[in-house]
Amino acid sequence: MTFARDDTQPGADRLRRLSVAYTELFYDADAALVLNPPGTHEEFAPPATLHLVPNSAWFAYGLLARGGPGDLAEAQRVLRAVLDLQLDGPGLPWDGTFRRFAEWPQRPPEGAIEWWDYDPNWRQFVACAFAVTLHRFESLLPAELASELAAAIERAVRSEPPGRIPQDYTNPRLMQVAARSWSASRRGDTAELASAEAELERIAERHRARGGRFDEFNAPTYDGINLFALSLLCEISGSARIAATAQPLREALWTQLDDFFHADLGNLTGPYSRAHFPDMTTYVALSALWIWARTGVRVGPAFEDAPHLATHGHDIMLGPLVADLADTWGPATLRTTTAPRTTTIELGDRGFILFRASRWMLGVETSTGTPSWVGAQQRMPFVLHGRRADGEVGAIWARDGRWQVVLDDPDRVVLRVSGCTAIDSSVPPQDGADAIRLDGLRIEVITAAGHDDWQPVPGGVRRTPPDGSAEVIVAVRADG
Amino acid sequence: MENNAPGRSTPPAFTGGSRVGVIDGLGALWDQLPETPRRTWVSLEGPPGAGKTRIVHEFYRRLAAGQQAPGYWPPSVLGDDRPTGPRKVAGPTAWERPAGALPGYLWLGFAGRRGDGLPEIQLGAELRQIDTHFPFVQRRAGLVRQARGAASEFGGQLGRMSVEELAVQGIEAGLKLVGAQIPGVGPAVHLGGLIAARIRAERELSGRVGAGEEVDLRAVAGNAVDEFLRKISAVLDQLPVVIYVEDLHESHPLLLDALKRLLAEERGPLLVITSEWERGDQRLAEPAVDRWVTVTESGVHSPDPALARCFPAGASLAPLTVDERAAVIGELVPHAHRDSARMLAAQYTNLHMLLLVCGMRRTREALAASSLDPRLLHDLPRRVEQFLDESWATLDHRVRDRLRRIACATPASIEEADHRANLYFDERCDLSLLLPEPAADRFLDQAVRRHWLRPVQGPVYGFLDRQRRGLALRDAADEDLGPEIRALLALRTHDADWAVDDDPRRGIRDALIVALARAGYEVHVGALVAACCRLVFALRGDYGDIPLLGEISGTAVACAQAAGLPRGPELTELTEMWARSLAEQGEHRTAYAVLAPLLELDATALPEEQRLRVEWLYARAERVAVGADAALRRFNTVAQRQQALLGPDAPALLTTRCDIAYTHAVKGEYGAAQAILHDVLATAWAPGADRDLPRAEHQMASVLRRRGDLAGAAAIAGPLLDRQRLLLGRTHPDTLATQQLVVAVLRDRGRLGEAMAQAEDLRELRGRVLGASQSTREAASHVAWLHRKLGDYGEAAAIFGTLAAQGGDVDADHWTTLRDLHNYAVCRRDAGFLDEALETLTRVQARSEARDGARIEIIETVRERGRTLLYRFVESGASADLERGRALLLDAVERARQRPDMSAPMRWQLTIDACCAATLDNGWSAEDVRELAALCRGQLADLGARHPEVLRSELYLSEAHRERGNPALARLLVDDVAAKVARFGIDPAHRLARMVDDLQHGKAILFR
Repeated sequence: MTFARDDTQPGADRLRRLSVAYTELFYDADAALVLNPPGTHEEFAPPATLHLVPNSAWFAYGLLARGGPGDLAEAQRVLRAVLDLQLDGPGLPWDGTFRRFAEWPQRPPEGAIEWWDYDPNWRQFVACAFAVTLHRFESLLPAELASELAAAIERAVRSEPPGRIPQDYTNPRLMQVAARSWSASRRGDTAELASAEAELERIAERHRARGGRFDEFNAPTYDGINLFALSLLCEISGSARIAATAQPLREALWTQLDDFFHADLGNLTGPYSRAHFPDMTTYVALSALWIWARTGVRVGPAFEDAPHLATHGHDIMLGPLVADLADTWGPATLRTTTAPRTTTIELGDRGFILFRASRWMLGVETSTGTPSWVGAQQRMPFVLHGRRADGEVGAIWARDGRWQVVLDDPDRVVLRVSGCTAIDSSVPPQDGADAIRLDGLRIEVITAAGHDDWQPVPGGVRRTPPDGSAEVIVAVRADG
Repeated sequence: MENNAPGRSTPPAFTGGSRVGVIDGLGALWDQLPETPRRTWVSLEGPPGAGKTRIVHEFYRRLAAGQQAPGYWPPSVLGDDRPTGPRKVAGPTAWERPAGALPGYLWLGFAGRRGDGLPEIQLGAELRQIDTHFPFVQRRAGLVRQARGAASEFGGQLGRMSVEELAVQGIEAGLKLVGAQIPGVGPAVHLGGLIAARIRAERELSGRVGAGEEVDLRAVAGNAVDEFLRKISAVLDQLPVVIYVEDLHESHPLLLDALKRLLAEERGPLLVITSEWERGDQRLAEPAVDRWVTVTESGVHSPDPALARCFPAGASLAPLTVDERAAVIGELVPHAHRDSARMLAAQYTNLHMLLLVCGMRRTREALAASSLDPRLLHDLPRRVEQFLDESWATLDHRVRDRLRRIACATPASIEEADHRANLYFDERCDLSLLLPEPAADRFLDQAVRRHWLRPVQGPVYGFLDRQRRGLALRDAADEDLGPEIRALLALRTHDADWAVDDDPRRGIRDALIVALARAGYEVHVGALVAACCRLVFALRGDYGDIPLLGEISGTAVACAQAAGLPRGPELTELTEMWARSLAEQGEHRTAYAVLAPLLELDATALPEEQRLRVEWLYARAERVAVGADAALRRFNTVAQRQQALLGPDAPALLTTRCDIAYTHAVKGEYGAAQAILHDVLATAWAPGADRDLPRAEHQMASVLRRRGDLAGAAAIAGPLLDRQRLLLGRTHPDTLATQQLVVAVLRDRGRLGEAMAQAEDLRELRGRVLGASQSTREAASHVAWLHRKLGDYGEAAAIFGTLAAQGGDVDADHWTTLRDLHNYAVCRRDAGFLDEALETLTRVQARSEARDGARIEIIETVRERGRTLLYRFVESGASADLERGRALLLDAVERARQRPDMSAPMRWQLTIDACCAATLDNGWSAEDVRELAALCRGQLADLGARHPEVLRSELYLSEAHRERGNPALARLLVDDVAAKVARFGIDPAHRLARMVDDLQHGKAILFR
């Protein structure tokens, strides 16, 4: 696992090249679809046993972008294979979306369960992939395929049940506007385009009302999808008004990424509204792909060296699209300041406090309400990052609990949490020691049961407070 | 005063102004202690029945009531639900502490009176009560230290959180920590461990003493005293301590010595309270410290006026007034006429006697009736005396002993009391009451003539009649010994257990009866059955010799049946034990046959609870003898009835549900099994229930293993084994079963060296405990499998061959014999002897089908035949082998499809093998790969990501991709499996790791 400035060539080029090469490893030429890589969907499928749908569409884009021998023909096969997976069931909730995996039945069962029997967001993911593919490479594709792709996009857009996407569910909402506006522009449907423009205005208004932040605030993966959707809105919507509205949203999100990114630790400061894992240096986060493409600073696993260790590696497959959109957007430079600071953020009824120091950072969500936004089960209301003794990044995090900052001194922070079911750490305490040590930092997690009950779990240690309702003190102190 | 009144569970209200003053004085002294942390001694001196013990109990109650919630000490020394009977206890014994409770002070009570057994060992055990509390004291100290540290670190910033609050927050969960480390048991296990240690120590010493070995018991007890004093000093750094010694005049001299040493030191805070009969100048409690107080009938005396001032004027042990005693009676017998109560109170000044008399049924009746018929008053004393005369023999011997002691205080009645006590002793210990007289004489004559018995010192073995007291079994192996004595010697290892658990005389007497019956003596059948019952239940706790247990219970059942005794609850219980013993030895079918007649008993013959237990046992045997489905039906019926009869969280019901889960697991329905076990454990460990359910934990670990969660299985099975070894001993069947599970988990994790060490140990233990039983052979087959996994096919084949030959001597076509032969063939094949293996497997299959074509084991034999043929094809290229092998594998898959009770891993193995075989001649088609991928997903859903079978098929998938022209993906998948092998803690020696290694070096892996 590594992160470093990519000096050898522009980040976008390298991302494009490596991500296509990575995806190609999992390409099943028999099915003309991409297989699931290791570290993906591990809970219900061994690697290379499922064919992925949006990822295959992204791979087709990557092949077209690479333009090597045979790539065009293979890309067409892939696009056709994906087209075949669109579901047909007028009036049913899954109509117009795509099979969750190619192995899923052509027609979801009676009473199909959302997110298991079908993924409604595949409408937006695949439609956006098709849209940008047509936008860039339509001239390379047979007309009949192009029109099939356009029809599939329109169908996906139109089949989206009104009100299915909640207002705070930012990423599919943005992608829906992107696909819808592209489709409307292509067809010259001004009314539809105006409708898309109005929807984006509503999103922008909500963004303004929340102090220039999305509801999916600080989500290492979904920030990347939001940048993808916003870039499409800026580049391919066919509407100057949409581009003008999207541009400041994209800049604001990038500024937030830049602001939260700790150049030394290679991570965004927590807490996260949604996150698959706590440490971006150990998995593929889409935000990291954007940072790589725009700034050349690379964060995350070296998947070209050890592709089997690229946790969440299927997100690498979005690389060619990110690279191209980042190229169009233009390069950026990260602010490299690591000066200590404390930031307090309010987002509606939610509150966040972020502490940054030169060698560590932590963030905590201090909201008292019940988490109710879409994806709240992936939230990480407390995350701390620091440097381990072996030089790698270490993280301590929790996925629930009501957190409170009881002490905020220059050299120490004391948190209190109730209702926390587990606190995880990728760094075990040293033998016989009470505290976990990171470079310049000493962290004590004091539960009612004392210090000595960290349990080993894969990838680190875990403390399970004996009673979820009991309070736990997390004391973080500068050390040495 | 004490409550000796039968029928009451709580003592009457404390009464008597002078006594309340004594308690107030003790309370004032206690309150002073932290300020003047020194050692103070209070001696309560008065005649028996003066109320000394009750005063201390009341003082205890006052301290306990003042504890911070949750209170560590129970509210009463006696506990809340102790059975009626003797109340002469000095401190709480084992009790359930509320979760999170830690002591704010320490109460150590010593009852001076000596009972049976070696007094030095008893003293040692009493002193070791401090060990029970020591961890909690240390835990509390640690939490307070931690709280102080945290508070000092956080300074005032923590606002509302004070040191105390932090400490309390820690204290609340202190006990949960113990509970978390030892799920579901917590302090009970801790106490259990101490008790087990005590039993072991006592057993060891008693055994040595019984064997005539010279043991310096005084030195042993002296060491215990030293250890005790050392620990007291450590505790005094943390907490105030009360030591209460009851009946100092009867205490062990070493305890007196310890008290003197304690009081000779200044450092406290320590309050020593002693009670003794008032004997004027002969008192034992000589002041060894300047801070002492004596409380007697006449009042409070102390050389230190400040101490004396703690006690209010009038505090003393003066007798209660008649009115106060009448008030006690009024409380005990609420309907007693006031005059009757006063009359009785006037007659019995001694409180012990008063309470005893009030507890007597006839007295109670008379007192209650007296409110209606004043004439009864005149009759009351006579009724009391009559009651004492008539019911003396049926009184608890400890109550009688107490009365005798009271009587001793009044010289006029001492002779009578002693006579009565000795009469009782004779009645219970006369062998002639148990054996027909000629048989008893014959036995005793032989015993003495042949020196089977030898004179001993001490009370433990004085068990025969009065003339022959002081005889014990001789400790020598002698060729001349008769069969009865050899049987006795076989039993003697249990003597020490009985000495601890029960009246030792009865245990040995029972052993004699059984031994005599086994030797052909004519014994009363009723006495024999009763003795067998007691012996079996005594043996049950140890399991040192399960076949003997079975033999005894079997003997008794046979004798009882021959004598035509009716099958009542007692005989049924004995039959249960017999069946259990048979089941422990793997003889499930015999157990099934033994239990079957019990189910035919009509509904009135057995209590419903016992009937359910029998049916449960029957279902367990049925699982093997008939099949899982039949057993599951019966278990479910039993569970439904248990739920209705006993409630949803009754231990018996939870146990049955464990069996239901196990039966599901036997059928391969691991998901269902896991869900049931999860529910059972949640019920058992629910707050307040806090039940230890090792069987459920065992099953859960087993299911997790079956589902491939080896780390999860290991996390449960390892600690469970440690706990069972501590509490049940290494040879208990449950311990051995868990050890077998640990072997399997280690083997599956690829930690073959550790697995082999455990398996060898298991084989040795099983051999020792069970002899050449089925379970012992199973342990041997585990060892053989490990040899096979380690690549030592020769050794594995040799063990399986031996097992098969041994089995063949008994029944050549028994399933176990055939399984051993099957395994032998597989090992021979692995060693390269394909033709021989094929021939043997074919023979095994033919014999199995001839015996019972529906047996599931046949499918595995078919599979191994198919695999062996494919091995031969890979070597020779003979297409006939390929076709035949493939056909056999498909046959096995088809057979498995028709067997829903087949285990999931086995089913998947078959399917994967068949899938691979299909590609042997023309490689993998895209359709094959898709099918294999679907199989992998199915396996993952059934077995979990960590299951070696899942990883194995992922390796096959990588092979398929390689053959389909995607070597990069193949390599990547192999690397992924390699990473998982490391991540999941699978040992490099595991065959998976070897397969990975082979693939990484370009070798084929088919049919491993």
